[in-house]
Amino acid sequence: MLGKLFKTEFKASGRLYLPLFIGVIFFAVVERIMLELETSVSNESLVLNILFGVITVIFVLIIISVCVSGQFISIYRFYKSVFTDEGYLTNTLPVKSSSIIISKLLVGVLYTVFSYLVLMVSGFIMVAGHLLTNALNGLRITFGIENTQISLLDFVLSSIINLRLTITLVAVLIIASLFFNILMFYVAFAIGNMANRKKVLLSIIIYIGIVNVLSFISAGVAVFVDWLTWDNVLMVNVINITLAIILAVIVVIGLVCFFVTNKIIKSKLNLE
Amino acid sequence: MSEILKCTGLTKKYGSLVALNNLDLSVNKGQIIGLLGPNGSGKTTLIKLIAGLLKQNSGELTVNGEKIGINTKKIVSYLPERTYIPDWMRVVDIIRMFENFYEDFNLEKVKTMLDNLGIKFNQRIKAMSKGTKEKLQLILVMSREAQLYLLDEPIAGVDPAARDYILRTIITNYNPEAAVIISTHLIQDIETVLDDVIMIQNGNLKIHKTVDEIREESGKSVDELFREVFRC
Repeated sequence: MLGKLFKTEFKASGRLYLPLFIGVIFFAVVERIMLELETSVSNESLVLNILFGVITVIFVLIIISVCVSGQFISIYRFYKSVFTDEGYLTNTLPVKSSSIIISKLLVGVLYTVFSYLVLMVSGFIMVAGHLLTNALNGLRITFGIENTQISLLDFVLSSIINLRLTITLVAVLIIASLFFNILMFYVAFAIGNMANRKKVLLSIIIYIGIVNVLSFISAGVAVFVDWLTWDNVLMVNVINITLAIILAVIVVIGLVCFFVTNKIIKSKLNLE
Repeated sequence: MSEILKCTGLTKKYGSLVALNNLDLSVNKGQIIGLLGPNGSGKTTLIKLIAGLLKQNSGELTVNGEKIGINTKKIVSYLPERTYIPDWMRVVDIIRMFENFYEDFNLEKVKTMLDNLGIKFNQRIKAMSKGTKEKLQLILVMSREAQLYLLDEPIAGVDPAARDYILRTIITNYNPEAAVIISTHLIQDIETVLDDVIMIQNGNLKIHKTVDEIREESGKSVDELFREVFRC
C-alpha cells in the first residue's frame, strides 16, 4: 500500500511542482538567448535592454518560488490531504497512518531534490559554452590556483580524498535535513490540528517554538564541542565530531517528530 | 443473522463535553438502519468512530468482530457529510484511486450509476456543483461491495429527483451480507427503506427498534415518533 500511496502523492504533488520546473527551464533558455543577443547585438537597443530586464526579474522570481516551494508544497499537501476535508478520504483508506506520513515525506524530499536539480540545470543552461569556461576561470582565480600545475578537477578530487569522512557526513546531514525540515512542519501541523479553532495559526506558532527549542539545543551542542576541543585534536576531527553530533540530534528529533505525528493521526485526529 | 457492529460502553468526550455516553449497541448484517437524533446528539461522532476517524475514550467497538483498524476499513464504506474529493481531480482519477485502494470496488457498478446520473468520466471535480459532488461520492461509496455502509446525511444536499435515485440505489444494493447505517434529518424520505431505527440523544441511546415495532407499539410513523421524542 505504501507504493500506491507514494504513486498517488507523487501525481498530486507533481501537478504543483511541474509548472514551476518548466517555467525555470523555459526562462533559463530565454535568458540565455537574451545574453547571447546582448553580446552580439548593440548594447544601445533600449527595447532589448527592457525586455532583458523584465525576463530577468521573472526568472529570478521563479527561481525564488522554486527554492521556497520545495518544502512548502510538501507541507501544504500534507496539511490539505490529512487535516482538511480531504482527510475524510485519506484517513479512511485501509492503510497505516505511518504509511501515509512516509509516502508524503518521501515525495516531499524527492521533489525538493528535483527542485535543486532543476535549479542546477537552469544554471548550467545560463553558463554553458564559453560562459562556463569564463566561470571556471573565475573559480580558479578565486581559489588562487590559476598558476599551479593542478587543474580544478584535481583540486576537487584531492579535497574529496582528504576530507572523505567530513564530506560523507555533510552529505548525510544534507539528506537528513531535508527529511527533518519537513517532519518539523508535519508535527507542528499535527499538534495544531488538535485545537478546535485557529489551527493553522497555532501550527505556525508551534513550528516557531520548535525552531527556538532547536536553537537552544544547537547552542548546547556548540558548548559541548567547545568543551571537547583539546589542543592536540586536529581541526578536521573537531569538525567531524560536531557534524556527527548534529546528525545524531537531527535523527533523534526527526524520529520524535515522526512518532508524535503518527500518534496524533492515529488516535487524536480532530477533523471538523 | 450475524453481528456486523457491536458497541459496549462506548464513550467519547471532546474535552468536558460527552458526545457519546456509555453506548451499548448491536447491528446485524442484512439491515438498513436509520441513525436518528437532533443536532449534536452524537450521530456523526458514532459514525466517525466506526469509520476510524476518531478514537473512543473508553468502551469497546468492533466491526465484524475486529477492533477498528486497517481490516475494518477494508469492509466499511463511509460517506461523510463533507465533500472530500480533491478539486484538481477528474472523475476518472478518483475512480482509479478507489480501484487502487479498495479490493471490493466494483467498476461496472460505478459505470452504470455514473451513466444513470449523467456524470462523465472526464468531468472535472472543480467544475461540479455541490450536489453533483455529493452524488459522485455516494456512487463511489455504494460501488464498493462492503459489509457495512455508513452514510452520514446522504440526501441532504441533492434535489428530490436525485434523492429518489439515491434511495433506490441503497435498496437496489441491498445485500444480506451487508448492513447500511443512514444518519439523516429527512426521516420522511427514508422511512420506507428502513428496517431498524436507532435514536440517540445527548450521546445516550434512546430507542433501538424495528420500524414495524415502532408502528405497532406507538401507532405512529418514525417521523411522528421522532417529533414526539425530541419535542423542543
